[in-house]
Amino acid sequence: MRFLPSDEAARRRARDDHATSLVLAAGAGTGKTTLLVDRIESLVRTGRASLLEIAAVTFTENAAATMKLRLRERLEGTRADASLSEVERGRAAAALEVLERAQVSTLHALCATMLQERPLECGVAPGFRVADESETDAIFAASWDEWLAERLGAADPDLAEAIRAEIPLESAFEFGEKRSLRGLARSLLEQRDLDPILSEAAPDPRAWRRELEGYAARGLALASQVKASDTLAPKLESLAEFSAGARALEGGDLARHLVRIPKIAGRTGQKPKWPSEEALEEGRRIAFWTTEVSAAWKTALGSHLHARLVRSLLGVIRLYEKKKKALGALDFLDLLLEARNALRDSPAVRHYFASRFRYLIVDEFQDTDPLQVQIAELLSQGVPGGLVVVGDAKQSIYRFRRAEVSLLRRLTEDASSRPGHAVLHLTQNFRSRAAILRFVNRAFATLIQASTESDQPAYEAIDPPHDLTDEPSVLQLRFDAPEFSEVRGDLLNAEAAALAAFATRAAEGGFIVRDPSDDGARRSRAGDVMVLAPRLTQIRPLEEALEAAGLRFTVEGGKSFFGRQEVHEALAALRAIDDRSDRASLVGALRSSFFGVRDSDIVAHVLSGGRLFLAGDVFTDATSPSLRQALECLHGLHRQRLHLSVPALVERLYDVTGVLAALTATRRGESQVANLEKVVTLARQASSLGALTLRGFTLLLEERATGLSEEPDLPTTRPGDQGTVRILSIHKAKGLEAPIVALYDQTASLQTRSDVIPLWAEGKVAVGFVEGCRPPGWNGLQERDRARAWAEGRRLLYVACTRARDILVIPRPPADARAGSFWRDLWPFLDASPPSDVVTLEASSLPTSAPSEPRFDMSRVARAEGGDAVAARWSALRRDLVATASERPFVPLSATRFAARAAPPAALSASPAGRDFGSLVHQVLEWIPFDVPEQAAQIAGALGPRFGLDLTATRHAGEQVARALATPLMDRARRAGRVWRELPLWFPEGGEMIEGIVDLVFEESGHLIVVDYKTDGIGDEQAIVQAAHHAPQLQLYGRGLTQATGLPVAERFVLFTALGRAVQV
Amino acid sequence: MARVLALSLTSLRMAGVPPDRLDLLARSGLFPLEEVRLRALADLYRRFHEAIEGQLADPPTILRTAAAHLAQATWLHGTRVVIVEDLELESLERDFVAALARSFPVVRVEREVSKPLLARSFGIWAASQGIVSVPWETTPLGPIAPPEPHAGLRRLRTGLFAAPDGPAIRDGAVELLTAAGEAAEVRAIVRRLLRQAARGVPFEEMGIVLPRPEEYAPLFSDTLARCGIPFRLHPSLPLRTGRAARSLLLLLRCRGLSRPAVLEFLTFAPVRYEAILGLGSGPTLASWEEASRNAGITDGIDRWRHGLGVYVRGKRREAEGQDVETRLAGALRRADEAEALLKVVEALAATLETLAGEASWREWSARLSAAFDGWVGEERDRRSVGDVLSDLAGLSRLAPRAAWAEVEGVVEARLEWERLPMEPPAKGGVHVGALDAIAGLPFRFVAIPGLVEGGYPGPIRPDPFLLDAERVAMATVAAPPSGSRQLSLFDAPSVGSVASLGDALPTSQDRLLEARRLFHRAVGQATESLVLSYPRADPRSGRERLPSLFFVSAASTLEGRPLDMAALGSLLVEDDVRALEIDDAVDVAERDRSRMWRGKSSAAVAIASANPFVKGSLLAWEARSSGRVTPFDGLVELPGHLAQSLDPVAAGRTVSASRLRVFADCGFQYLLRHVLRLEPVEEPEDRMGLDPMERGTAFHEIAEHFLRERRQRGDLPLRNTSAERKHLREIAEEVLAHIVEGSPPRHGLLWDMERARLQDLLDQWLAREVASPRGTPAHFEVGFGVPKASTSGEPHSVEPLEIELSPGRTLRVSGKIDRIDVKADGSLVVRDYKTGRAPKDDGGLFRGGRQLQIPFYVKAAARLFPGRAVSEAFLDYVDGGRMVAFDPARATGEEFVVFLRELVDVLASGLFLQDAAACRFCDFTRVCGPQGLIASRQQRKRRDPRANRLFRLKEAP
Ligand code: SF4
Repeated sequence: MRFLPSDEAARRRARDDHATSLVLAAGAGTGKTTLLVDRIESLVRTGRASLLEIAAVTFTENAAATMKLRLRERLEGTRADASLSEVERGRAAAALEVLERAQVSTLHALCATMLQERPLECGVAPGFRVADESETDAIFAASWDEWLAERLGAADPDLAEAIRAEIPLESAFEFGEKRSLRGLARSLLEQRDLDPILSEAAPDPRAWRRELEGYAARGLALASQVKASDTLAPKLESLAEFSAGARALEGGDLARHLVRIPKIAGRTGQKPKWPSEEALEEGRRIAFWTTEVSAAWKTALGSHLHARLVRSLLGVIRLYEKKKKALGALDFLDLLLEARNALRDSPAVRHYFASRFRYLIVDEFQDTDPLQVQIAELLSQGVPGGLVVVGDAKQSIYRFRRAEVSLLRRLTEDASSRPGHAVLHLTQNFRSRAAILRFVNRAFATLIQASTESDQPAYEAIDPPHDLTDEPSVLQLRFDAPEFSEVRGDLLNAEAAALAAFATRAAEGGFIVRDPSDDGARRSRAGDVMVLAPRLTQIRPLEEALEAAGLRFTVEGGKSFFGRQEVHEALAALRAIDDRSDRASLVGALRSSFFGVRDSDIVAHVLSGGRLFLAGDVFTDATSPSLRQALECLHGLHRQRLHLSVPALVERLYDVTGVLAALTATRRGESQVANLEKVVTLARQASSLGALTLRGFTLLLEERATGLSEEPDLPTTRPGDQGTVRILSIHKAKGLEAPIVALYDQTASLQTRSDVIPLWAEGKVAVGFVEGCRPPGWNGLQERDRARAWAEGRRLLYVACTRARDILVIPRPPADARAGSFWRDLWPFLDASPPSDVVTLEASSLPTSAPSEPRFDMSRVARAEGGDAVAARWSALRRDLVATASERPFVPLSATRFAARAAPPAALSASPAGRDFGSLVHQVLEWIPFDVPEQAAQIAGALGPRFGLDLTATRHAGEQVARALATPLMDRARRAGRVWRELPLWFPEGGEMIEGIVDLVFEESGHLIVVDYKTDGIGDEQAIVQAAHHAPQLQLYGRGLTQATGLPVAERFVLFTALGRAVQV
Repeated sequence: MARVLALSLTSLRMAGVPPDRLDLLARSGLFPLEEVRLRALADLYRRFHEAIEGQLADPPTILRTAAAHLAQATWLHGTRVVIVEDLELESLERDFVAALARSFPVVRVEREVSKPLLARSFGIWAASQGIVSVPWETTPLGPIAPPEPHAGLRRLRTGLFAAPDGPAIRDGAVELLTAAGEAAEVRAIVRRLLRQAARGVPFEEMGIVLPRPEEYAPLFSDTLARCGIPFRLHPSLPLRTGRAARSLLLLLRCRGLSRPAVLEFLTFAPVRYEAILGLGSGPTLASWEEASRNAGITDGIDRWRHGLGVYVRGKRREAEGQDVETRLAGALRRADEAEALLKVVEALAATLETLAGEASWREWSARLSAAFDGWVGEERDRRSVGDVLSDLAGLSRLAPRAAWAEVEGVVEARLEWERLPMEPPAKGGVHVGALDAIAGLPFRFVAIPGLVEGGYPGPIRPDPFLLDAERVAMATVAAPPSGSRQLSLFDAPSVGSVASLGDALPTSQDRLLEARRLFHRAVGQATESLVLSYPRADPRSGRERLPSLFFVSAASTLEGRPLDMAALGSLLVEDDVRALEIDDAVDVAERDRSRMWRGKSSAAVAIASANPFVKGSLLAWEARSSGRVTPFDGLVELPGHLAQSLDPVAAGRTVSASRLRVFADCGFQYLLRHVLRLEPVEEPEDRMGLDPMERGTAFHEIAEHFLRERRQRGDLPLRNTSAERKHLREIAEEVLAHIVEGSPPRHGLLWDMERARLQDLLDQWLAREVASPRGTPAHFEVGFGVPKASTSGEPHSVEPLEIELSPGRTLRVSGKIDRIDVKADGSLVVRDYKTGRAPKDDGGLFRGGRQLQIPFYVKAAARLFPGRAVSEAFLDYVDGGRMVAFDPARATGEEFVVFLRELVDVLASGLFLQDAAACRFCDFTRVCGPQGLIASRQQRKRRDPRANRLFRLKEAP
């Protein structure tokens, strides 16, 4: 009997009910992509819609491509399905005819389509480009630089205030750009569709002073009545002093002074020393006031500074917009904004696209932002059946990219109460073993509790697939950490070692898993293991542990490219090649993996009077051969930089140094090689960012490296590679699955602080910044936001746990370890689960991986000498192979060049009128009917612009043509039986193959006449000499023509168009 | 906008659409919501049409005229026409072919095409025009008819894009390839070229068809060149990639004379310096880099003049005071070189001045050509660039005058559009070309790369000016009233408008079909083997990418069934460099990498024995990842006499206290700075204000000057009056002015704030000095072990401080005591000024060497003032106003000697280790690498007892 999923009814409806708009709440692993493809196929097959009327929106480009391929397969199946009617199969066939045009894409791409299709109506430049991240980065950088220079030049008081407040202008050492003004500008740019919340009121320090003076005077009066050695009275006195210090100040100085008001603790003062209890109370009230007002004034001043800076920084954004416009480019946010605006504001556009895309399907809806939702709603117009959204609120994890989980809830509520709309629940999981799902259901029924305050959805249990083995599948991996486990690094090292030991066991086939391709049971492999971490900044211990265990792994989604040694070294080498005055980079290059020169050799060279400079004379006196060769090599590259493309130069550097081979030998070799290859890729892309030379490229790279900008590390192996453990962030793992999933990083804590808090309902955004420079009400907003962040943390856990197909591994540190908060919530459920679900594995029971042996015998390497016979033979064979394959039956030689060997010297070597002028005259003479010489000027005029010639030149060309046509020779041509113009010729001549084009050939009574036009600006008296110079070429043509046609050549002429004279040769 | 519009209008003309037709459409009422756009388009088109018709010989005019005159072309009599390749033709082109067929015998070579591609194809149309299809063999081209292809290739010719059918064909003729990124894909294809060559196929008979030439042509060009395989690009790379064009663009970027731009131009372009400078030989460009950098030049001719002027004067002054011959010559040479640089920059400025404002195109052409000729010397692409510039004159037909910005845009666009001149082929080479550029050429081996989803076919979108529905509707609107005779350039009889426009205006679907046919045609070019490939990952982000629908279509056609991703995956081939046979390696890098993988140690030894860099690299890697200190990480063990020169004690050299401190901070920094004598490179344009060092020096100078003046006038103790503060400020101004003498601050605001900050600091300092004096300031910058400056008038000792570290080993130390105060009881207070953050005042002694100067000062003071006690010593952190005390007694204690002995022993032993803790304030990160890596290596090195001892020493309080 066929297995029916527990939610079959919902599935059927999702597929076939085309008249209802649906919200599909699809739990993890419930096969929603298949369902969406089914719905599209059903829409098409039933004739409800043509494929081009459907827009399917996915979260990533990759998901879109996958969906397209599946759709293709599905439609092919329908077309071939003999059980279906002819009409239905025809519809599938028709859909396949337009499949490449089908709108299956990300929302950004959908917006781009709309804008490209109706640019005029949408108010964007037709044919605009979409600027990618590196380009927008470059535009932003240029805008920032321009703004900064201009503002600094104009002595902008806001900027001065920021500098005074010690806010860095650009990147601040280890914090990167974030805490600098440039970082604030970038945040504003990223949120530019929302209005920043700004403080409206300017602080009034004079009023503050008045207030202060009142309290200070009263405090002083009180203090004067108090007996000596009281704790409060002296503080009140110093408050009065402070107040006096404010008297002479004004403006910013006054404000800055006032916020430093001494805070007096509220419970000070000894009762017996005070005249009365009331007096003491009053004194304490003043004390309390100081703490209160200190905070209030600081906040007010901070919000004011924030507002001034933000307003000022909006200038950067204006510049950015201007530059972008000049380039005819839109960035990703523009795509959404412009499309939304057009749909919202233009009935024509809305109408056009609503009827163009009658069916809209949006996947991963839980991670859309309100702007995207607005676009979807404007497109679908609330028509029943027009919109299907699929999402799982429990898997919403992209807050940092502005995802709003509450939108799905709103839509769900809407749909459940609106006619023509419905909510369907998909709960049948096809992915994980029952024990995993029982554990997940048990844990998350508690961990995910509905809350409007934190936008947490309710938990909905998922049903296990029916046909999988039911055995304990959650593995609690207990490991010991040494007693100093409160040190973070040690805890991570211990956890990493445990996971490496586990992965080794998996790699050795220690577990039974289902093969993802056919679900057949088999022994596990390293490639089955996927390690998930909440962040990738702490994976070095894991990398080292896996390396030590001799396991291959790949990290997907790391961003530390610019922090890698090999990238840094490549940069140093390129700088040294480019700029010979940069001796620091030269030393960096010499000691790098490219050359591996010993420090001692460099020092010995310098101490013996040698220079560190790339010049010929320096090499000869280098004491160490390796240093000399390295300097020579770099010098050679320095010279080659002028003639090679930048990427070719980088590759040349790799080739001559053999760096890729050398790195291959090392443990991290593969990723190092991948990173170096990526440097070449970046060099290729740099030219599109305007870098023209090696210098341009190194500057670009350096700017990014010093700005600590994030750049992905490359995964080094193919996904699905059987021998490679995958390491990913949870965010990256969205939508993925693996037979074995292991969680990592027990030191991680949930990040609940954010710098940007959007308030969608109001169309506003609070952009926080450094302490002392934040929008009004920031603390309250931050507080509320924290609850949402915390809720999202729980969802991240859920996503992580639901990726596993067969085994979920949860490391468990010792009870006394100082673990972070991120995974901790899972532990109680490990303890509470029955052994039928969860088993414990002691890491100590796993064999510790043998210390990997050194892969190379370094002492032999050190002694290596005498050449490489294998390489030499290879090179020789390769040379032969290329030489043989390059052989060609003949190599044509141009007639002009061949004839020039025999030609007497010319009277005049080049035509002063230029090559283009000559070309125009030739072209007109080729095209003009010989019997209408009067049209010469007109034709020359029409053709002139194609040759870049102005009116004067074209007039001259026309005149020369007319003059040429007026010669008796051309009169003969006019009357000739057959005429060929610009006749291409190939013919053998004395062992060579000649190729050439004859200007004019005509036939007169069985003889050929050959004519060559020359536009040489010679005088009449030079004509004979000049013609003699051209004669060999004409003779050559003559011989060729005779060979080709069998006709004898009777006469040969050089026709000087400038003179209007033909000279026979 | 203009570009897209021009394309649309041109295509309308190519389709032979008369202007009235658009008007009719606009007024037809068929598209009420679109009327405004349609009318505007009709209007634009009319004007466009009128500007060209009868004026210019654009392709439509030529085609029409040619079609009309074919019958009169007597010289063509007897011609037979063979159409070898099916073409994607615009309607006027079809009209021409039809005319051809009316006048001459025209045949078309028969070809197999899969059914779905037939709709609106050339073949169907040709048949309708009576053009007959004939087999290759029957044409004059019979002898070169391509051979019958293998089954797989045949299936693709007949079945591509049709419903997949039949048994799977896996005859090896078609390979479905993937690789991790475009570069890897190109390498995999080149590997196949070599395999084919090994089979005996000449390069000349191999073709690489590029659906996306912009991305792939440079890749193939670089990779093939790298492997020494001859090839021909169709078309060649953009002119912009040549050196002459790049030089021109760089020249234009010099506007504003920003230093990096100018230097980039001067060091890259083939500038004829000899001509400009009237020299016998070219300049040393490195010295220009150095001079302009050291002169602090950022941009603008004034800064160049001023900065280089000060620099030249400085060098000349330096030369005057120099008695060592070589140094004197060196200083003079630098001065001369800087002068030459200024001359060049002046000339550059003059050139750039001509390239601004507004002028006629002819004028621009002349000016640009002059600039180009004057600055850019001989290069392969020079002539072509020159042509582009002289061609600009022709634009005067379109607009009389143009502003510079527009000219620049046009030049850039032309350099992108025009192609590098091609060298005449000397050998047989692989043909690499755009899809349409080498369409129809049969090759024994064909590769089509780049078949990735979203890449090829790219998005197919309707023309935004005339949408698909409107294009279709054009056919139905009434024909224009007759009698509207078109102008004909050659005054020929009017060709008349196209009878039916139904087919004339292609829609998006037509373009999709066309793209499919183009792909089919490319596939059909292969006669023996075919490779289809796509990059499975983005080379920059590593993101996974999927094959395009075309690729999948081809795959399922071959398999005879629809394919899902898993099934497709099993058909894909991906090269694994690690598993390569070395004969299969594309280049040396691949060869050696695969050897390393397979042969391990013996391969490494063999490779290292031929390439010293590989050897060095392997040894360096092993050394650095070990737990030992080695010659690759700062251990410098040298032969006798050289080793001695590293050890200040053995060399009998005096070492300054601050250098010792540098050594204690980071031994490697000491090595770079004081042994290799490197200076960190500082780019003037990155300079925002004073760096901490400069700030410290400035403070020292100001305080010294101020206090000495007060002392000389007997104006002590200090007073904190407004007059005093004012004076202190004046001194500060003087000192600061000196600092920026050569390079005036670029940003007034920052500089003003910097000044204000320093003045603030001075005010606070004075207030503190007055509020809590530690004695009377008596001596400033008191030197020991250094030559005496004539002016200072302070007590001084030219003899260095001598500290016996152990019997027979005496360390000689020099330095300058920042300040000595005298207390009422005659005892001395020694102080060392510091800027930056103060450490905790916890009685720390030498703080691992970071607090090394003060004990020397105490000792030196004691020696300079015999009989007087040093009662107090301080590190005076002027920034925060914190004083950190140092117990003077400790300077004379044994622990100081022990500490120094250990430190100097380490130095003498040649151990110069990196210390990540010091990187934050060090400018040598470009030598050392990222701090995090230094830190983790440092951790490893601690396993070596020597390193451990050093780091423990450095951790001492
Ligand atoms: S960068 Fe760091 S390790 Fe390198 S020299 Fe400077 S302080 Fe030492």
